[in-house]
Amino acid sequence: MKKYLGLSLGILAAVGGFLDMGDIVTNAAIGARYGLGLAWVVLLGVIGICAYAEMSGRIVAVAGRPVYDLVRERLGPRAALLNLIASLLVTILTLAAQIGGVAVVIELASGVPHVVWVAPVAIGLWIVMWRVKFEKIEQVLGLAGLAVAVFAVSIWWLDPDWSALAGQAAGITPPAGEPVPTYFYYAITLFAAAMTPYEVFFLSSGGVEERWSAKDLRMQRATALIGFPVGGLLALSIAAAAAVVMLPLGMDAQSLGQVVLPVGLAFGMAGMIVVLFGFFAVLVGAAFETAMSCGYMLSQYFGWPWGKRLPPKRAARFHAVVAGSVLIALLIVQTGVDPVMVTEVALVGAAVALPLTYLPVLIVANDRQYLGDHVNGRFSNAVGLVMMVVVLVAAIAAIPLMITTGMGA
Amino acid sequence: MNWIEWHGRDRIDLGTQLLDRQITAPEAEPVGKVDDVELTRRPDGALEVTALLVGTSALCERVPQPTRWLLRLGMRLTGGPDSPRRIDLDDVVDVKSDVEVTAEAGEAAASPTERRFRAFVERIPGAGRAGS
Repeated sequence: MKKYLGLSLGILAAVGGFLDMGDIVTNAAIGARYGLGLAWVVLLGVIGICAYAEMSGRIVAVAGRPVYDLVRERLGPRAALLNLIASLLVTILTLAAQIGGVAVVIELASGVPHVVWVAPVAIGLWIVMWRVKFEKIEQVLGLAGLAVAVFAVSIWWLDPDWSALAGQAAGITPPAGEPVPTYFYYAITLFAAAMTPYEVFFLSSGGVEERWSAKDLRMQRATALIGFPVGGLLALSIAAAAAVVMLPLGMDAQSLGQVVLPVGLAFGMAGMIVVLFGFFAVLVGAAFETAMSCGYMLSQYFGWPWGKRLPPKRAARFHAVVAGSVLIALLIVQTGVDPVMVTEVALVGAAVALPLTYLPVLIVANDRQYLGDHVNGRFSNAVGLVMMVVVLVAAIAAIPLMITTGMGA
Repeated sequence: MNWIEWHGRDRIDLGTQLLDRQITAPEAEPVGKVDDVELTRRPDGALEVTALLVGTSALCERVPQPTRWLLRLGMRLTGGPDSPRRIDLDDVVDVKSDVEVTAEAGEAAASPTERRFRAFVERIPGAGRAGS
């Protein structure tokens, strides 16, 4: 019984770990523009994150090594340092996007402009990270985040033309009249949102925090292989809701206020309360994960003591980095810049940084010195290699496509 | 488990199996990384690894500009730079996916920067409570 409780709590955490501001913003934007025409990218992203989350989880459970240890050991100090700088910048921007998102959610609930809420949100986030236990944060926010499933219920309630939705989802090319580069630009941001590097930093470091061992392997695998796909389904339901409501009207979904409209249309005020509650939980959870990830990656690169399992004063530099990242993110959002814009820039950055994060995981997952008999089988390697090719293509194409399409305008 | 054993091996690839590995000590928090190794010339002319070097100032020598400049800046901003700490090879207990050293050596190689940050973080309420 206790085992199943642990499993379901782990799955909750993984669902919450998948969804963040990037997934919400991109899924709504593509849903409004292409319907479910980019659903295949979400599927691809979910397969990729499952494959690499499973590998890095296995490396943690068997060898006790989190991802950033591997990055430095396998890439060497130079390439790893460049990756560290890039990943840190991207993760701080991602953190800023989540904090901005939380502030906007409170604005939508209260009517008071989001810039007023940025500092209280950041300070509250820091206090929670400083005081509350790791598992408790993950589980409470994961459970609350399930409220986002109201998107799926709304679609069913609105009773759309199901065959039209299925028709959109079956396509893997841009709808007639849509420019090809813009379509692929959106595809890359959607893919990067699903595979954001902080997810594996956080997951593998969390495994060390929760003291996984080889006997947790099956549980850890089940968590990733159920949790991330469920997260992907929730993301797709956001896209589908936008496809049902906004696409026929030719409307955009460029702000959180527009993203929640389908739920409001289906269930009015009650629906709005549920969806804002769900977004709040998901975004605070993602802010927690990104802020901790900043501390994890820097600590693991330099070999410092880290993590919430140590008394805070014994991981002083780790906590300083976490607090410092929250402060920088706060300053970025406090300038009044649109959190959706910050999200998009962070996603393009993430796409570029992806290969240097995932390559060391793939290499070490094949290294018997670390994993003994738990090295990758043929299936894991096949999926891992195919995803690595996709990741490389996305990384190379990201910036050129961003420039030529004017960020998908 | 087929860990590579440090003892009883006649060959070890320093680049992939020692450098940049995590250093741990029993009953202690992480010590640091193998940022560099100390090589000493023996009377017969051969080079011998005599110690592990730990600390960002040792790492600095291994990265090119402008990242080296960035690391130096980081050290200065955090009250350094401190000279690298040295862990004698005799204090290395085992080399697995991490490098285990004796408790005393781990203690002696503790980071001065961590100490400086600790003095500050300690003052925040709740800093001393047990980890979760």
